[in-house]
Parts: sequence; C-alpha cells; structure tokens
Amino acid sequence: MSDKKTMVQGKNFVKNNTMLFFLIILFILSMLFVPRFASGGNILNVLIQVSINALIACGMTFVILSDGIDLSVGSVAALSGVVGASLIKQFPVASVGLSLLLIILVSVVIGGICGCVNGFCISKLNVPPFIATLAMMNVARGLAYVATDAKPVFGLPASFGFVGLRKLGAIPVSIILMVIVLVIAYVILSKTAYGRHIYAVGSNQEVAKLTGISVMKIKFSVYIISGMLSALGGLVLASKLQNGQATAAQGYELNAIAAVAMGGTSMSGGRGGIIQTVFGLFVIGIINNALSLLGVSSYWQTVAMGIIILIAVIMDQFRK
Amino acid sequence: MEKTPIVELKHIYKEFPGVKVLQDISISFYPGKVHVLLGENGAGKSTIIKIISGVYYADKGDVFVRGEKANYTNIRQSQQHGISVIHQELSVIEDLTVYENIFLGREIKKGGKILNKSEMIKEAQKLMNTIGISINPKSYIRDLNNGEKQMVEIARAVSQNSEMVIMDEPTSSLSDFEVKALFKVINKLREDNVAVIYISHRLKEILEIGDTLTVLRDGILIDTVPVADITENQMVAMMVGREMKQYYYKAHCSDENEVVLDVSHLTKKGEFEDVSFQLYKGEILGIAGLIGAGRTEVMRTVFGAEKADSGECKLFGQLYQARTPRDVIRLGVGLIPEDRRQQGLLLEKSVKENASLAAIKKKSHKGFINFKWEKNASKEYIKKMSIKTPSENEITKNLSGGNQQKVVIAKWLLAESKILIMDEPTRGIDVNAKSEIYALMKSFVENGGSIIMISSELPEILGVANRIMVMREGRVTGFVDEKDAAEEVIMSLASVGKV
Repeated sequence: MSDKKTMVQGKNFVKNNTMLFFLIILFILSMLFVPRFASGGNILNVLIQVSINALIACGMTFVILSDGIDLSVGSVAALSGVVGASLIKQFPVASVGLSLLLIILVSVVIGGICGCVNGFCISKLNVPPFIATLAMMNVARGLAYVATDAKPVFGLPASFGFVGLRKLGAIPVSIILMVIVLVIAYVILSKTAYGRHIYAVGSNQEVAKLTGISVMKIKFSVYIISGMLSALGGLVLASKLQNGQATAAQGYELNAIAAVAMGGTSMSGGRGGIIQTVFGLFVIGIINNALSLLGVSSYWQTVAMGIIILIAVIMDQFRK
Repeated sequence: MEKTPIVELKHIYKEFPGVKVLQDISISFYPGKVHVLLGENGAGKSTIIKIISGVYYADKGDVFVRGEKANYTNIRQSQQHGISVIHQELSVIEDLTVYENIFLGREIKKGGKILNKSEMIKEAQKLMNTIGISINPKSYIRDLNNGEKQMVEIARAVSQNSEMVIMDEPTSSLSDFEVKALFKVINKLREDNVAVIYISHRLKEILEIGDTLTVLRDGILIDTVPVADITENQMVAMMVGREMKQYYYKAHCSDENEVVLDVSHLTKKGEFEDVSFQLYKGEILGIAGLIGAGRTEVMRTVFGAEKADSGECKLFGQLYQARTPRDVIRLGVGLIPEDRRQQGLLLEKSVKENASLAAIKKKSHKGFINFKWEKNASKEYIKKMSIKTPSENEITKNLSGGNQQKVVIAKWLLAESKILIMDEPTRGIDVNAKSEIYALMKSFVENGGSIIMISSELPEILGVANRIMVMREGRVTGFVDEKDAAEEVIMSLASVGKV
C-alpha cells in the first residue's frame, strides 16, 4: 500500500520535473562523451556563458508569466551597453567604484525607461505586447546606432571590466550577479503577494481584475523589471567584451524566450517560474558548450539549438 | 403505440480511472418523445450523451440506432446517422454571422465551389421564421446575447433534419421568456416525430416539457417513468436518494434602518438608465428580469468593473467613485460573477490559491505571503462550506460546478466582504449544491452581511430574496416585497414593465 503511494509520488515527481531529469541526463551524457567537459574550469565557463542570458531571461520570466512577451530585450541590452561604455570613456573618474556604480545605475534606469514605455503602451493603450515591444526593439536599437554613430566604443579603462571579467575570490562577478538576481526573482515570484498577483494576471486577467488586483500595475511593473534586467545584462556584456556596440546582443530576445519556454513556463502565462527558467538556461548552456567542445561549427550549433527547443516544448506538451 | 426506438442503450458500462461512471445503463429513446435525463452533477448524464454521439466509447454494452448496432467512434458518424447535439457550452463562432454558423461545414454552394450566400441567408431566415425567433441571419454572433446565441445553436441543430436532437442544459443561459420560445421549438420537434433528449436541472421545466424521465444517481439508473406520474418532490427524492427537507433557505434579518448600499440615478448610455435602489443590512435583494435587461451591467458598474456616465453610489454612507473593482473591494464588496469559469476562478490554480486570492495581499507581512494563514484558512473554509475536494491543493478545474462556485464564495468570505453581489449564483449547479449555497447565503446575511442576487430563475428569487427589484430594458420597473411576491407579478414587470 505504502509502496504504491511512494510510486505514485515518484511518478508525480518525475512528471513535474521533466526538465530537471532532462538536465541531469544531459549533464551525465556530456560528462561521459564530451572531452574536457567535466573540468572545474569548464563548468565555470558554462556558468559565465549563461550569466548574461540568465539576467535577461529572468525579466522575461516575469513578462511571460503575466501573459506577455518582450521582444525589445536584446536592443535594450545593446543600448545600455553603449551608454555605459560611452559614459565611462567620458568620465574615467578617480574614484573607480563610485563611477562604476553610477554607470550601472544610469544604464539600468535607461532600461527601466524603455520598459516603462512598453508597459505604458501595453497596459494603458492596450497595444498587444508583441507589437509594443517589437516597436521598442527598433527604437532602442536605432537609438544605440544614433548614440554611437554606428561605431563601436572601445579603449575603455580596465575598471569597466569589473562586472564582466573580474573575479571576487575564485568566482567571477557575473556569476555572483546572476545568482543574486535569480534568488531575488525567485523569492519575489513565489513568496510575495506581488508574485502571486503576476500569476493571477497571467492565468486570467478578467478574474484578476474582478478580484481586486490592479492588472495595469502588474503589467506595467513586469516590463519595467524586464527592461532593467536587460540593461544589466547589456552592461555585463559590454564589460566582458570591453566595448560598447550598437550591434551587440542581436537575437538575445530569442535566447531568453527559449530558456523560459524550454524550462516549461507556459507561453500563455500563469504557469512556471524561475526554477524552470534556470533549467532552461542550463540545458541551453550545456548543449552550446558541449557542441563547441566537440568542434561543431557555430552554424550547426544554431540548427541544433532550434531543434532541441522544439523537442523540449513538445515533451512538455506530452506531459500535459 | 408500437414504435421502435431510434436509439437504444443496452447494458452500458463506462469507467474512468478510479470512477465507475456508468453501470449497466439501458434506456430506449422513442421518436416523438421528449426524454429527460435527470441527476446531480457527476451522475453520468453527460457521459451517456457522449457515448451516444461517439465522443466516448462504452467499455461494455452496445448502442443501437434504429435497431442496428452503432458504437460510434466519432461525432461525424453520429451526425451522419441523424443525431445532433446541443452542448451546454456554446459552440457558435463569434466572428461569423448567424447564417454562416448555421451552415458551417455544410455550406450551400454554387457550381460546387462558390458559396451561395443569398440562398443561405434565405434558408436561415426561413428557419428563424419556423422556429419563431427574430434574429437577423446576417448579424454577427459576437453582437448577440447569450440567449440569442443559444437559439442560433438550436436553429443549427434543427436545420440538420436530425432524427434525434440532444440538448444538454439548453436553458441554463436563457431567461424564462426565451425558455418559452425554446419550448415551442421542442414541441414542434415532437410533432415532427423527432426524438429529443433533454437534460436540465430545472424541475419545473421538466414537468412542462418532458414525456419520459430517467433519473440517474452515481452512474446507476434509478428509474425510468412517465413524467405525468411524478411530482417535483419525488424527482428530488429520486435524485438525491432521500427526501430533502428543505430546499430554499430564507433569512429574515433585513434591517431597513441601515442602508449599506445606496445607488441613485445610475446611468450608462446604451446599457441602463436612471437606476436607483438601496440595499439594507442583512437583506438579500433579488434582481429579476429577462436576459439583456441590464442587470449584470448595473452590478458590474456598481462594482467598478465598468464606468457609469452619471449617477452616484454610496457604500456604508460614503460616496465613492469606482474606477476599478479594487476600490470597491476595499470597501467590503465582493462579486460572484455570472461566468465562474471565465470570470470567477483561476481554473488552472489550486483551491487554496483561488480562495486566498482576494485577501492574500492584506494578510501578507511586508509583501511576503503568509503561507500558514493561506493553508489554514482555506482548509477551514473547505470544511465549513463542505467543499468536496481531495485537498486544498487540488486544481479547481477538477471540481464540480457547485464546488467551484463555493470556492468563489470562499474567496470573498476570506476577504471579509460585507456585501456580496451574486450574479446567477446557482447556474448549472445540481440541486444539492444549490441548496447548500442558499444555506450559505442565509448564514452570511445573518452574520451581518448583505447580498444582491441576480437570478433568471423565478422560483429561486421567490425562495431566497427578501425584496425583489425588477428590471426591463435597462430600467427599473418595480420593487416587490417578499410578501407580495408572485411569479405573475414579476413576470409582467419584467416583460411589459407594469403589473
């Protein structure tokens, strides 16, 4: 009797955590068959590679849970990177820490403003999220070109590399940043009333409204969060590359959406969360890393990525 | 009188994992007869329909159509054999016109390819005339109200010249007035020798329209009897397996000295005009009227879900300008909406999450959810309201209609609402659950609350409300006190506007 119960529980556990098992199997396969995969240095590499997408996908999770989509994240990241790089070039002040903090703040605020515009169009003017953020995708990218005259901003002081290249002890700053953001996002989404309200809006907007939830505020806020985190991601990217380019972060919106969808968060909102996104991020990260180590060309990597995303989502449909 | 049945079920068994849905069901359906299936939710009525129409396949036993074995495996087969089904949920397409819906899938064509629109419009109009309803075949479905949509659906089924028409709760979204029109259609079908299977929870209707009655309980056939030989009370007794002592519960604690909600001259152009009424503490105010009279719109406006053009509302003596429901909810009002599946519940979420939703913010500490409160409070209310669910973590989609509705009510009780606006609170709910909800309403007002109840079922309004406001075409046509309340009075106020 208790055997049966544990079996049912086990079955449910597997059913509810398909992605976790997929990730574990992927990890074991990579350990066994991919040379140099299992080294500590490489694992750290995977984490670093994932970190930028993680920041952006984190904001995307908020947006998708509320039954929206944000296509502007890549462009906002580029704009933020360009602004950050230009600022540090202009003001390489003596007090490095302070100026860096200020630059991060300015970039994040710019991302927040982009998100604000998205949120305004979507929640107040009833523009469909796909269209509103598509527009912002062009506007932000265009502004990045205008600001730099389409020339990369380089020759940056070494201090700019802090968030993208530096380590605190043995751990790169970008990984620390990723972990902090993911943990905060997790707590907000699963432990706060605000998080619960996001799920409610994503499940059924009308029900949420009639239950006294301010649908407008929720929608507004998720795009602001997404904009700010994209800007942070863009800054880490620029810092890592040691330059700011208007062409940076092309297609990052799709990587972020892929990570969220792959983890099993419902594209129509209301179901999923940060844990799922983390699974999605690492599945994508490990596959990319393994294929690189195996010497597969980056073009084929792109093809493989497309197919794997499709398989993951089909698996999720079967689970339902 | 020696007729052969059109459809015959012989010893049908059907099981879903863990539940015996049907056990040894044998029924014969004859042409020219209205055969009523009656039972509480979960008794197996819908499963029977689905087996006849080919949606489900019986585990054991056979279906015979005109004497031939006909265990259909999809709906198309049953349609081809002259069986059409009108489902409880509307299945008309909003963005098509009435005639396009009627001829969907079997369009009239010129030369085999091009649609012959004028012919279809003409045919549709002819159909409307024979049925006796006045809907323009060229209007879009999205512009019709629920009752009209239902009539289009019925027109579609009738137009297929079926030998059997199955109606699964066709009247649940119709007003009494529209029900009369539907009955005319059914009577015509009967004259044309069509076999009708009719499912309804409204016992009065069954007495009026049915010829034969089959009662089901927990998947077992209790009895098949002629409707002429049975009374309402007997039906209920057969359905629930015992005599129900009390069906309606009426509270008597209305305090006319204390007005909790005062609405005056509320107007929204095109929807309703100059609506004024007061709600007393401890009162259940019934709102009667035909579908489309503007009752739901008025209450949604009072609740802040819609904006009024003019007029004012006072809650507990305080004037308020509601821009969103949030403002009104804060003042202690809760809405149990008409369509609980689309407006009342997050179907994919658990009982606990739904019940706590309105209060979760208030009960949180610095924004953090109080999970202990959430669990205990929902458990408490599951017990108090006898909500049938395996646990507080069950997904609400899996609950029966009555239990879902209780979860919506629990949401507002947890939010400590003082006034509940209930829009058709017992629609599509079985007798037992209905009665439980009336009891809940009674105890709510006895504990100092007040209720506004919109209902299209007159017996319900008469049985529960202390006072009845009647609306017609967006205007209030009268108030009736419970001691003067009679069906005729309310019907005439609702349909002609005067007594």
